[in-house]
Amino acid sequence: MTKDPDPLDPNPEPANDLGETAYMVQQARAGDREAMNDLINRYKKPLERFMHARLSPAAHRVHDTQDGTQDVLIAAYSAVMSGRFQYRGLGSFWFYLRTSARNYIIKKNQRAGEKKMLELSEESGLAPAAAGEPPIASMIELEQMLQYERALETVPEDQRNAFLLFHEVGMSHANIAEECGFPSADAARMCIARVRAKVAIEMGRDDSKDARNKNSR
Amino acid sequence: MSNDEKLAEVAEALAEGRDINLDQMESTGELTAKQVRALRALHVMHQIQVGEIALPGEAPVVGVMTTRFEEIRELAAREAFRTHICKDRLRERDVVVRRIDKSAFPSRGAMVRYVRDLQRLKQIDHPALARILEVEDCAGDVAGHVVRIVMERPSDVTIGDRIRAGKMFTSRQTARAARELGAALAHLESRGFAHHGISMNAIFYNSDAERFVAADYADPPPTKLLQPSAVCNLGNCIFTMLAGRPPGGADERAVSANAAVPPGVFRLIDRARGIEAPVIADCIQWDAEMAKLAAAGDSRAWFGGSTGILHAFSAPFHAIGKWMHR
Repeated sequence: MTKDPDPLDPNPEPANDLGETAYMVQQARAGDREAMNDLINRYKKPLERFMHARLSPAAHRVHDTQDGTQDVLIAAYSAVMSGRFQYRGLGSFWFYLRTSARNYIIKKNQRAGEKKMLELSEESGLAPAAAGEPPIASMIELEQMLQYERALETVPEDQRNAFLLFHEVGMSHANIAEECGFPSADAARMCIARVRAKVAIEMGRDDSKDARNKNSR
Repeated sequence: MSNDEKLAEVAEALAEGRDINLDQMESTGELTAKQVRALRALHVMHQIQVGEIALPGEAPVVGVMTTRFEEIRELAAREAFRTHICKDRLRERDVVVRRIDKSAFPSRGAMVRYVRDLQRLKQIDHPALARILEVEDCAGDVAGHVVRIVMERPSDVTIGDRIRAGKMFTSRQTARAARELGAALAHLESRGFAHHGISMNAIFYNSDAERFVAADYADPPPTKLLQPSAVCNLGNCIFTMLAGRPPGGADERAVSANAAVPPGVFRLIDRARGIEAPVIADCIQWDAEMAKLAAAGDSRAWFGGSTGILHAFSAPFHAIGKWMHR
């Protein structure tokens, strides 16, 4: 596990940066609980934000974000320990977490929708028209969220994961370079810039034009 | 340039924190409405995810520097630099974070060279220097702060905290601070760096004032700084530790002399009339070897045996030296 340097230790060990997910996964699997805790702590906050933004208010009532984060992390823990999660480098752990979180959110949002309908059928006169959209919808159209996810699917896995570490985890270029084996922070930055451009192009593609092109073929 | 290339260029510019008028690009037809919405969505998603903006129902983002660092208190602030004690939310630890604005650099090349120097500084390991834990070139930071240095936070209190609380340091503690920090400056010097920002607020000490650790160093460009300014600043700190006030404030002659000194030139210090001779005697007697060297006028003892630094020995230190064995 990583240890914060003792400030008063005259010969402190070199501090570890973030580029050690693979090592921590390996340690966790070998039974080092603190390595697992450390690993989870690193991704807990971005995961919480990711889920809070996407869970609908109805789902929030059923399970709050922290419960959801906990559920996803527990599932990740068991996946790491059982070997179901295979570390494939380049931010694959974050990708695994966000995929689990998306599945969880879809399930919870669906269940909350069903529950609401049931309640409405019984006491429809009393139930207010709940705002059913997740918090992120106040800033971004949900359609754009879907376009974003679709755009990510068009990017090669290793590049996509590097981009997500920057875009969703907030990791610096230098740390991504270490984590993902880029020769320098600039190399990581260039890769991320290329992916960003590709995602922006995909998201900004005119669907009607695409449809026309398809029809003309 | 094709439309896609234009879109890629604008996406990159936004990520670097540059001001882009997307409405204008849409109205002039450079980008389509959908493309503009896509760019905005990407940018907002990033800001939400890294905690730069709070969503409804989420705790408001307080004192966010960029992604991870919650400001606890300010240590230093100048035009292009800001240093804070911060809580690193990602790694759950307290650190010293220095943000350097792009305006500190005359060119992009200068910034690149500076970051390269910082990577070298990261290797420096000295007990009286806070370790540099991370160096980040945050070109994508929307706040426009392009370089962030994360240092260890050696303890809870700085010399400045104690002085502001109306307390001073004993001569023994001061002598120890002078020796340890002087050795740290010499260590930096031997590797081609100077500590430009040494100040009361950047020197931490442990509970019994037996260990002193300097943080908040590495101003750009670290390799081209004048070492005398570092020594001068250390001299001022040491004076303050003993006197309980910064030099120059009490002596009328020094005040008028300092008023005439143009900015950037070392200022004179007063003769610390408030400090009693026995304190000075204690300070010298505490370390027999240092006393011998001080009496002989050789100030090397303050600097852990370094000689290079002596050529640049500054006026405040000379003044302190004279004052100590007058």
